[in-house]
Amino acid sequence: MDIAGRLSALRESTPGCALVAFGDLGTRLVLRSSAAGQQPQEYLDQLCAQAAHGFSLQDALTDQTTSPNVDAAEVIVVTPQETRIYIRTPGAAQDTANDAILCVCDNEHSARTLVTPAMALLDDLCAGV
Amino acid sequence: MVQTKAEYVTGQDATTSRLRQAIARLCTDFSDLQADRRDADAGHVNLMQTLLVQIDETMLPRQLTLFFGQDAVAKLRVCNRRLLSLELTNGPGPEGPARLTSAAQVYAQQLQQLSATYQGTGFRITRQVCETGIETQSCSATQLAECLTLQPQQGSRLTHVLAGISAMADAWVLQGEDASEDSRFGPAALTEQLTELAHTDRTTKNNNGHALRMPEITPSYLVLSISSDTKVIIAWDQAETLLVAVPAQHLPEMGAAWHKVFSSL
Repeated sequence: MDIAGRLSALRESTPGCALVAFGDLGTRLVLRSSAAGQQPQEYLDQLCAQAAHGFSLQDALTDQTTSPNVDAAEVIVVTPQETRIYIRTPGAAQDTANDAILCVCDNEHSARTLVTPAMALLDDLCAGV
Repeated sequence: MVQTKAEYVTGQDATTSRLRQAIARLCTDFSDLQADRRDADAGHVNLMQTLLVQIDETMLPRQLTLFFGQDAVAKLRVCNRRLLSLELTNGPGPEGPARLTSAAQVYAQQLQQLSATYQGTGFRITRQVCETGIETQSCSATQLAECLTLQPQQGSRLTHVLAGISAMADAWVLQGEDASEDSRFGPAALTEQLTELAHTDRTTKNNNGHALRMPEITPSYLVLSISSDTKVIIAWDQAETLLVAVPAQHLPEMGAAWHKVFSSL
């Protein structure tokens, strides 16, 4: 299954999930996406910009702390209408370090259920599967 | 006996009426006072009302120390039925003089923020003899009450969120448009981390211009990790930013408090 198919499978298997996208945090561009409805590219790119901003804050926080168990793989953004979860692989090689899965759900529970399969998808992409 | 002493103070004007109430309170049974204290400890007593009564009934110089749980959160010096000074141990400082023009307004604003922060929490007040000097920033209980009445609903939406979750937070920082006008609570090391994070947030947004405007369009909050069991929340609403360090198990309460304020938008 190609990446577009994997994104669609991820979205369709998660109740309450409206959008799953694959983005590059470096260029802040969404490269592939699967959504219940048509989403303007501007919205997708802003999602990616927000993810990059969230991870930059997480990295700043991680740099300040001495705790070895900081979960730097995910960032959650909550708005009155939706919950967005952004997932990356912190220990990824340089060429895939900016890869991220961006998800939009109607509640936080749905968003959290996406973490494990999204991490698996990123691992597969990293390994070239 | 209580009624007998109070009844000696006759007359209908407000002064004698207050004196009558004060004497009645002084003559009340010790068990009633203990019951009052238990009610205050349990959070069943109005903090503002209690403070106003204590200020209004204090003639000799006294320092009132306000406790929430074991924490002394404020020290009030009172004399001649006037509040002479208010010192918050960890809480927010007063607004700038441009917005608040009288001592009563400054004290009222500080007390309201304090009350919002510890909403529903039990409290107790201790009294000690204290010194007084030349006081220029004093106000009467009546002046304070008028300011409290005038601004009962002031405070931003994020202040209301904070009121709902501050009791379970390890630390918080609330910043207005001008980052120098911030309120904070918690251990210095943690509040410094939060302040530094707020600075990084502002700097990044300034550098990235329009690309990051989405968080500004609607109120939102971001969940980050500072350790395996502590989360950091950054909430934005218009020009305000609220940062809260909260144990991970309290994230649902944080979400509920935020949605209570913002989900009707």
